[in-house]
Amino acid sequence: MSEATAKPMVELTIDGKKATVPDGTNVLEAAKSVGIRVPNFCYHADLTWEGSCRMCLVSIEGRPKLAPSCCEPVKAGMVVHVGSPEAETARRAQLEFILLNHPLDCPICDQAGECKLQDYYVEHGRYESRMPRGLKVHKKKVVDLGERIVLDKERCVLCSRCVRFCREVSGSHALQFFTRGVTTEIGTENDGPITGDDYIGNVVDICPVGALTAKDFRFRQRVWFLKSAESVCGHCSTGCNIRVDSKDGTVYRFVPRRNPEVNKSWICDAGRDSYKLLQGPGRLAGPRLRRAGTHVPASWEEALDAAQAAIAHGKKAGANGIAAIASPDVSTEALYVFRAFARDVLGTSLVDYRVDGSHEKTTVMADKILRHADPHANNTACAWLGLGQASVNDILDACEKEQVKTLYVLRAEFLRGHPEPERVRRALSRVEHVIAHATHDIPELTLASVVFPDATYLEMDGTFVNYQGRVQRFARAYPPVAEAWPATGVMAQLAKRLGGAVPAGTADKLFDEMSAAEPAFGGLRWKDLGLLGAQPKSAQTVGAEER
Amino acid sequence: MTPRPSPEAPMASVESPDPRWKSRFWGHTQGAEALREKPTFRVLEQACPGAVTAAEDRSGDLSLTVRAADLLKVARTLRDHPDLRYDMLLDVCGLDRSALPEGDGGERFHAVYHLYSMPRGKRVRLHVPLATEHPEVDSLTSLWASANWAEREAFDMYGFRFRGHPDLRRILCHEEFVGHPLRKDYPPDRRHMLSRTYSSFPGLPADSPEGQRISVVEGDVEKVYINLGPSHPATHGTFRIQARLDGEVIEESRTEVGYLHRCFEKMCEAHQFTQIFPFTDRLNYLSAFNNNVGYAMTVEKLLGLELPERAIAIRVILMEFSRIMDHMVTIGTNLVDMGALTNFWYAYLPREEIYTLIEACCGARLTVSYGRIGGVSQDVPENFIALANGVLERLPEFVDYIDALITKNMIFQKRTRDVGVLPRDRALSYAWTGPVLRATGVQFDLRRAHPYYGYETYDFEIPVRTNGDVYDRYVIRMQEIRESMKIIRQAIERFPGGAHIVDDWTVALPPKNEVYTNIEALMAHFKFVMHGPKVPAGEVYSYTESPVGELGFYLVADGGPKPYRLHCRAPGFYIFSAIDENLKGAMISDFAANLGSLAIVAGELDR
Amino acid sequence: MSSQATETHRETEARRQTEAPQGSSPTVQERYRIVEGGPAAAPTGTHTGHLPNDIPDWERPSVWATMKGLVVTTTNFMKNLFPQNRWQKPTINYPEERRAYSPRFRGIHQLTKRPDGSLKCVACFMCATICPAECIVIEAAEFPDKRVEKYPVRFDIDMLRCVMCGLCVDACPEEAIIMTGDYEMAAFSRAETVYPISLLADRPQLASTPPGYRPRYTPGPDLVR
Repeated sequence: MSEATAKPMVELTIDGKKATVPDGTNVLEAAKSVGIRVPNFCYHADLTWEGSCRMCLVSIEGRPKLAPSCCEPVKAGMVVHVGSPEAETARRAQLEFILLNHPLDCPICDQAGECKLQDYYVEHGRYESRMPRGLKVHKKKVVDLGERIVLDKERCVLCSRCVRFCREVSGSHALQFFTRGVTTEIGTENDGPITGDDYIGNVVDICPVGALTAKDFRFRQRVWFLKSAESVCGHCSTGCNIRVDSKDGTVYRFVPRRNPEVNKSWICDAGRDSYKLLQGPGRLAGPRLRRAGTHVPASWEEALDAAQAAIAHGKKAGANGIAAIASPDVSTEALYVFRAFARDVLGTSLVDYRVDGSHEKTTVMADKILRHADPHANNTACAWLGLGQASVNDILDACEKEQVKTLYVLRAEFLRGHPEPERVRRALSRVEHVIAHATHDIPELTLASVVFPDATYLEMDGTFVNYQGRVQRFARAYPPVAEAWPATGVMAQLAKRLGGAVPAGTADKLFDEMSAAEPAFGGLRWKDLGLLGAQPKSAQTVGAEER
Repeated sequence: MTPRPSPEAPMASVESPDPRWKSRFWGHTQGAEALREKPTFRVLEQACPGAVTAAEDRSGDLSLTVRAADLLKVARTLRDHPDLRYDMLLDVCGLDRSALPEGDGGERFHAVYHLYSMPRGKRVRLHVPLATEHPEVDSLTSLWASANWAEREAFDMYGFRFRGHPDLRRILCHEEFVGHPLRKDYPPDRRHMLSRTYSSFPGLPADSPEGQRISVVEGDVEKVYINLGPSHPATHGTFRIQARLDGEVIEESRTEVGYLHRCFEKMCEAHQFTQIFPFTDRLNYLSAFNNNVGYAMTVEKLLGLELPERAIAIRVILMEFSRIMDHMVTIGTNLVDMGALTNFWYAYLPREEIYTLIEACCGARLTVSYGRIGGVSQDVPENFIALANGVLERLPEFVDYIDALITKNMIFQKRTRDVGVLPRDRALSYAWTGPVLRATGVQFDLRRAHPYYGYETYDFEIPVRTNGDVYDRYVIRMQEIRESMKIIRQAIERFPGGAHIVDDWTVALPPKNEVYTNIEALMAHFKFVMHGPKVPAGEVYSYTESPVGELGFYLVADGGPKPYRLHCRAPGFYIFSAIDENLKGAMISDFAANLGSLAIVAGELDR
Repeated sequence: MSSQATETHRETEARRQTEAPQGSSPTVQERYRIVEGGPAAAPTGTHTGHLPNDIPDWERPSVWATMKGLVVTTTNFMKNLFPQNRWQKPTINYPEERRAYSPRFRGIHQLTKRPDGSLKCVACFMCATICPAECIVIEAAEFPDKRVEKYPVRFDIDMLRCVMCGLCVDACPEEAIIMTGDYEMAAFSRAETVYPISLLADRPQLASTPPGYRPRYTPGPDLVR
């Protein structure tokens, strides 16, 4: 943003509308800013300008020929006609040209439903077909490009988005053009598999047609059945903006959502696959209790009763009778409720979140593009909320000395990250009652006496604070599976039973309350976060240095 | 920058230079000056200054926005002013605007009224914005009897409170139902356990214990309460009439409907425009094709679509055949209720043959799903004319049989003459339309008054009788059967060639030979199935003369693939709302005769 | 003004009772007419049907109407006994006899096959998308033959949900699903009414039933069932 505002503004007229955009913008983006979408295949906001598809041709007054709007920088006083008859005719002719050899593949093509060819034909084409099926030039289909990508050379419109991506963003140069004329095609060298590119999944998203399809998603679902939710990837502290596409409680894919300040239009392959980690197998279906050494399924009522008794027991044991550990994987709102819960209900100062040392690596890049070394989404929020009151080693020591009678763990999976797993096991086994929220069934859970099934971030509304200190909202994609219940609700219930009170309510209410109370959040309001998130003033300098 | 940051947003909404595809929310809007010249607007400005806050011409309908506080006054002016004379309140329904994309900040709820002036032949729609928290407005039951059930439906579906309504209860949903289903925040898949039954008369037990009867003793007279229905040989479909009897005379009756309520309107909001055709089949299933056409016409009116002549001719022929079938069934079952079984077979046999004709066209007999936006799903078979002529040739014979058996039969006359009489002014107040209205001396038929599909070019009579009794309704239906045959003969004579559906791939599927052979048609086919026909945003009310009466569809579209709101003005609903008044003082045996003559089909009544 | 209003019952009798009087209807310009002569108000008190006063005495006994009715029924009885055509003998001895249904009949679906015997269906989900009853469940998978690429490993139609509207056939871009003349789908359990691929493509009844509703534009060789 700061970059954009520094440039002088230019005013031009597009289809009778006045547009004011920074110098250096192209006409296509300027038209978009006043609500006019110019059809295009090759242009992509986060790649260099190419101008190869010729779909975005527009008339510019004073020019004898049509100009590709994606390669045309704005000039003051320019008068552009996107909907002029010449431009429409050219667009129609160009679409017919692109479709000349296009196979009749809609029924088997994953792109159907979000295919630009389909959209543009119905909106701009509507010409009568002149190309008989038998005359089409055929190319190779179903080319296996390694473990992620399948290429169909016939469907390609040669927009070169993927080629530019591999050159400019991932740097792998994996995809290239081959041969000339009507047989031009993209591909890899000898159609070999693509290796060593951790961002190659993005070429599927940017492919405007169905030439590149993802093996992971291939044929599993049709895109028009999917419900989308605007979310944030929780796989590392980058906080890439994503769209979660799900149907009936099953996630089918993560797709990057454009946020120029965070991830541009990209996401790493590990983050893209992380939806698999967030759902079954292994998801906890309901609360569990340890009875006579083994775990038995229990009702929420029984589990809450047991937790209540365990907390009361721990309280009796004195100041160090209870300890609490929170995971930087949960939402900021849950952390905020957790802090109040630990302080007011559990009455302990043995609280920490720094189990695996990741809090020190929040801003350390894991590669040169997006990924960070911290595998948790919300370490920054933990720091802002001051959850590191005691050190985790002190807590484990106290556990080993059997001072701690009751240990409250928000997200037990997190404990596995500790550099000395044996020590954690030993410590946990010496605590009388371990109350654990968890999403998945892991071996360590056998040490817990009460297990609450927690909802993943896909199943609730909330925020994460990324490495820049950018507060980003994620929306619920589908309701919690089985009997899972977001931790905020569980802690509110327990507080009520124990005669205390913690903040309760929906995510937006909790966030506004927290932001008003915590200076680190700079008074941000939930509604200010929008879809792209916002940075409190204090954090903005930090973010800028990082970038 | 842009609110949705993804550059890969599916379905990029590119503005098209073709003005037909420009998104217009409320349809075509006429200039404000032209509207001010309209008498309705002029008179209201004078009589109720400030009451009308907006006036628009939406797809040809005059639409006024009226302040809720002034509704009663405005409605009274509309009804009584000599220049306006809107004597019929055709329809009342609700509209929840909370999910509209425009988000103009107006009130969330609108009560929508459709009025018709028979003397002037004009229609007007009133939009009454209601307060979001407590949607409340004056009831129009003091002006029109039709408001009674219609407002109960709006209360049931949207939770609107109508001040001064004598009996504001749920009508289509069960008493135990929680929430108001047509509100946009009501999830379509929510389920309720409905277990109890209630008596229509407050204070009475719902069911009588085995072998006993529910009765009250007044003086030395025992008044017995009986249930006719929900399941009774003489109720066509399920509904319940609880009646208090003094001997054999019905002193008072209360009618409950809704047993066959299948959330037609909520389902329509959840399905694409094309997918709704099978639902419309099941409204008045005796003449399913008429419903197909009534709905298709509504969407076509919003699209401003012109149909190929052949499609119109197919529609006219099959609609008139359906009218014959519908009347045949109505007459047949009406007589069966009175104990005359034989003619039932004479009515059903030609009906079977008409079904065979329809089956030859579309492959189904009862639930045809033959209509499509812009025409019909496929062309009629080559032998269509021969088949139709074959049916037409034999049909009069069977009408004559019924005639000979029934029309002059003294037993029949005794059972039907002066039975179920509703005088003309009450019929209009109840917004009766169709044959039952024509039996009260109003010679009114939409095919003649507001012709569509070239009905003005056909030579046919509009039957009329004056007594308003069951006998007259029977005679009118018999006459209409003969008139429909006349129309069909003329339509067959001028049966044109050409296409059976419009050649516009954004509202109709491309032909299969194209889909199989070129990518362009295949893509258009996919877009149509995935994202539905392209219907512009707008609001429209369209009406056809169904065999029962005025079948109206009120459609609000938001430019998406599904209707934002589709309300069906079922003629039978308004006709049946008069049943309690109609039965008062009648013999219990007259109930059966009267009920059948109203042509009630529960599928349409309960939707 | 209509003549109907002033007519006596006997005059009406002169014409056929149930033929609408010619030329009495309102014109398009008039839109409607009110015909006076009906009752001014609804009957009050106890009331029931009765004959009008202007029916002559000799017509009053119902024996005449009964006799006339008997003539009609007897005539029809004889016609039914010695039928000359379908109109005179509408019933059939089902299931030994069966009706000939239209070639467009919308009966139970069928999945068609390619000449090599594999299913034509490529699992494009068009039918499942347009189905208003949401009764089609498809699971797609990769087909070994790269020219086909995709095929359904599961294709179920819940016949209890299906409304036989034929929209799936309209929506199919491959002529892979058609309807047949087969309409007998009674079953002993709910599970049996969900038809999997095996029933949809190869049920034994298909051999004896004609194809029903299907697209009319078959290019090339005729439909392979």
